[in-house]
Amino acid sequence: MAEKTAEQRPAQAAHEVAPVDLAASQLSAMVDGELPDAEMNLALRRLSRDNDTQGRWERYHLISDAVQGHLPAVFDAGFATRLREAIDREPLPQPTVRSLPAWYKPVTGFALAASVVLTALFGLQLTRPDAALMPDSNSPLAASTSSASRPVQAVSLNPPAAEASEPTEARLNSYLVNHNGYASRNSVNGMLPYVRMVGYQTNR
Amino acid sequence: MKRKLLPCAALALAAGLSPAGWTQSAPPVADEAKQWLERMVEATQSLNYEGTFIYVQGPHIEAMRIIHGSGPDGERQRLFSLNGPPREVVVANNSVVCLLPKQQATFAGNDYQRSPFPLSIPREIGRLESHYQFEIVGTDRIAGLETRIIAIKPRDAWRFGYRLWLDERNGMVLRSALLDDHGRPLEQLMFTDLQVKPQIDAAAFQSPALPEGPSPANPVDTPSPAGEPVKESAWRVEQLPEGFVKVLHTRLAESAARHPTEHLVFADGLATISVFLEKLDGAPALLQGASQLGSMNAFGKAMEGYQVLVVGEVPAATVQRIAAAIQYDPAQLKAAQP
Repeated sequence: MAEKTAEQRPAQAAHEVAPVDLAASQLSAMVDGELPDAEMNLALRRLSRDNDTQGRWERYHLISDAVQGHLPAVFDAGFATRLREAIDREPLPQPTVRSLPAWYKPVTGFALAASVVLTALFGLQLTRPDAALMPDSNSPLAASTSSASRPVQAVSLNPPAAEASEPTEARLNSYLVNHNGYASRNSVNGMLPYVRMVGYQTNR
Repeated sequence: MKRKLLPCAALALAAGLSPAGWTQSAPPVADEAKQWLERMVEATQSLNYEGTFIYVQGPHIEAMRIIHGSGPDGERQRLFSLNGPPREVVVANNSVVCLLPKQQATFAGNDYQRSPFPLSIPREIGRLESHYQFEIVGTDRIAGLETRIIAIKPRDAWRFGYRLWLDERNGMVLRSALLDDHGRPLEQLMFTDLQVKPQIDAAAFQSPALPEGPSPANPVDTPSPAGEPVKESAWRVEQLPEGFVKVLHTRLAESAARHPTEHLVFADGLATISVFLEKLDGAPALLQGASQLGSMNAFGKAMEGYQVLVVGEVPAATVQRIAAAIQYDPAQLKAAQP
């Protein structure tokens, strides 16, 4: 066997083209931790692509381990392959945090300009000092009585937000736009929130 | 999409099922109403249409035009006002661009994610039944088209009701009304003209007044990056009105105009409520107490150095109750599991 192998070698060497030898010596240097950094990238790329190179990599390590007396009593030549296959079979972890309702669609980056939607919060009384207007009770009943007397459109005659500083308006307005942006994704009638967005812009 | 709808309508109506006999196990009439709602969801998302409608909110009246298309790239929509100062919203290709009065500012979200349509929500509509009852209440003619009228009545006082007029042909909503607890309209929308088309020319979505998207030539405020989902928060909203579930908890990207802000969204499938928690950093509170903007109610309070603002198209009591249910517990933040 040894002879035969020895005989084959020159022929093989003659047959093989230089790049393979280069690759082999690179690989050998890599196993020994002697490959210059500059060549490392190329060698790694080749290693990740090429099955032959991978087989060679395993054999070189085996030789290295044998030479250094690191081989276990029994070793499994197909271990690396099987490990790789096992990893391939392993399902990737899914990024599910929790299940969301099917109608939920995220609206990310509903970006807002500070000065946008200036008159949007028309009607929002920006600086009401306290919550006295609202009954303390949380009951819907209490609210319905208050809604009957609610100051509907206390709004129309006051230039909205006239007393509020622009940054204040901008902050509040951005809330409104954000709310409608998300609402359009969550509501059965997705068109309505946009209509509200436009509708509230009136120069009333 | 399933379309095994219509036929038993007349039969069910003839059977004389009354709303008084409403139970959780929906009678056929309710089932049919739900099927109409499914059709509506599908139609509003998947049809190509162009139309004009009026929008009435309190004492205000508006005329608007809408152009909607759908294709492999998703939905596109252009909505603009026909009276008063020009206002416009264009939704396309994962972005929303708005034209607003006076300053002609625009904003856009590049990462505005729109999943492929149409969303199918039969399951959610089923869920809605615990909190709303559905009923077909008749027929009517809107914009020259025959419609079926669907009433959606809340089962408690935490939400508003709706009435929808749906195109007999395809389920497209031609008229809608948001109703208060006395059945009075808070907000109404009605098409005066609607054309459903096989296809809509791309040019129709181009607004002469708007850029195609944010660009250096159209400086907006820098479009914010996507808000990041919040996994740990010191804020809790306990004891929500029944049926409302949290569908979003995000941290809005910071900008010059905004302090760190968390945004929570609660929805029952029809109504949506936003809770904003903005760190005041010494600034005065924006809103304390109740307020109203059109069909939306808002309630604000200052708490732990934060502005708490609850807003939604729900009764005043609902936003107030949610505001009262908000709790700040920094210990939770530390204890929160990853």
